[in-house]
Amino acid sequence: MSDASELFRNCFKYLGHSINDDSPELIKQVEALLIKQKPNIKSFHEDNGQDLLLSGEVDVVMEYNGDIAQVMTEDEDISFVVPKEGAMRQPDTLADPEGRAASRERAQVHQLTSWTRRSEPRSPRPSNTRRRTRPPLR
Amino acid sequence: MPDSYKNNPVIFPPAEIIAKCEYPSYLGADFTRLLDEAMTRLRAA
Repeated sequence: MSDASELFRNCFKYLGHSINDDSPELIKQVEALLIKQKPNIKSFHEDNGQDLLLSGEVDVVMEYNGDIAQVMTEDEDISFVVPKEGAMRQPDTLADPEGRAASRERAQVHQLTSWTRRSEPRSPRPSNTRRRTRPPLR
Repeated sequence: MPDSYKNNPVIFPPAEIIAKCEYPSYLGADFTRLLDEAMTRLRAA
């Protein structure tokens, strides 16, 4: 993965440390480990590891379980394992800040949240919820 | 949700596996900078 935090901190785990270990020496140790492995690394991918796997471009990827679960339905040769040392837990999160939304909007937030938890693919988004554009970063 | 989803061990790994996993904490801007610098050196190596 190209995300430095997820790549390095999962390697912390591989080396028997907590992913929340913040010692600079450990970062250097992992850097050396990954540089040594680099001849075997095709890509530091942008969360498209499941596509690389499905296309046969690579044999092994570091990828989120949800992404792999999807391509497992398309190719029975694909499987998923959590390293025996453990890994980083990284759940997607929807936040509904207290007091920030009006009651009508809060109902829409809850409806949208329920919709995202549905397992059926391509179910239409609730019509009374609207897409909001994030304000530009300053 | 259908059982095929609820009982999928890829989506919901067993508890003994989850027990070995950790949630990440925010470890500060310096830590993030060190990781980013290491990633840059890794890409360049």
